[in-house]
Amino acid sequence: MNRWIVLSLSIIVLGSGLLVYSWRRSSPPMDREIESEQATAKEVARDVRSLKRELARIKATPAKVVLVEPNGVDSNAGEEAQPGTAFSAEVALPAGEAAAGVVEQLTPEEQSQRIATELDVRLAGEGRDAEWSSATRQKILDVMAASLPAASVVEAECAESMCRVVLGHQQVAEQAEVALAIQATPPFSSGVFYHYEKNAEQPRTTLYVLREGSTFRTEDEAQAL
Amino acid sequence: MIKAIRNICSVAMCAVALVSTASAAEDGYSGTVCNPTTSTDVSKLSYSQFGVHNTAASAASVACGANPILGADVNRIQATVYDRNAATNVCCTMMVLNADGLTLGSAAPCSAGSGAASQLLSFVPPVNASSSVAMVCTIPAISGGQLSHVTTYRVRTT
Repeated sequence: MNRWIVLSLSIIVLGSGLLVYSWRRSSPPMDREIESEQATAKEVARDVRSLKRELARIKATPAKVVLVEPNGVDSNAGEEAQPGTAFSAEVALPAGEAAAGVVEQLTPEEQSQRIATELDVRLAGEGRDAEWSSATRQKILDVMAASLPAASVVEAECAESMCRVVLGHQQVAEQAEVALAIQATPPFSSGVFYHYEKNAEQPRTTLYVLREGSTFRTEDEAQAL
Repeated sequence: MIKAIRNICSVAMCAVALVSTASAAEDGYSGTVCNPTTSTDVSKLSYSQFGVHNTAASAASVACGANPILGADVNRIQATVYDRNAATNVCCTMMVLNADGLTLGSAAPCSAGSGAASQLLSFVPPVNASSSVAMVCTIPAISGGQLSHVTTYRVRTT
């Protein structure tokens, strides 16, 4: 009797073993897929952690852009200077803004500052069309003297596709007169971006004046429209 | 699981692309909505299907407003004009303004000589979050019985 019981149990155990073995043989593809997905998920999580660390590092480090006139001409005086002379102040991009593609909600002042910074960078990257540059600079000074005598021209420089003019004012109210006084007169009629600094010690307006035929937007921006 | 996430992301990206395409807009206006900039110009101007035109022997100016979506990026302003005066051009100062009325960007394109056909004046401002758009056009005097017009203008935003 005992022998039959032992034999039956042995058959049951062997049968169960065979069933489990055959089931495991048929299931490996699914197991492998799960393992592969788990590995991919770990990899993605590692990448995300790495990107977060990189973003935190960029946010913590303000990027500095030094504007250097390529041909080494001192833009303020129009005289020869040492090659590589910085012709404008260092421009510190606000922390974190160096990360391209970061979508932020900006105040109008912040947006204006960002555009001004971008145009400064563009100017710094341009060469200098000597003939056009000096002729246009002189025209700008003439128009300013005739149309905005109360404003002081702190800086006026031209590169290849654009000029940058910094005006100082005695009062913030004078800033409202700037565009009205000059916008229809060449070279300002080609296009101007106005950046107003009201809270500076002396109110300042920076004008980015387009050369005729140039545009404010890059080719990529224009194509995206 | 990963495949499901990928599919969801693809659908989301398509939706974002569709929404951003749909958010681009261009509003058109007739020159008949333009107003004289000074009281002396009132009597010089007349209006028709060709917008506003100058019937006087001296130039006249008109101001034309537009109302883009608040905070939108105004990426192009255009005006269609007729210049029938060989001595003077039709010039339009196009401005993108902030809420205080200060000019963020401006340009003053002019017609290129006179002729029978209409001409297109255009300005692509820098990236902006404008509050409004303004345009001030100078329309030359009548010349040989021929009238100069500001017929239509358009403001495109994204």
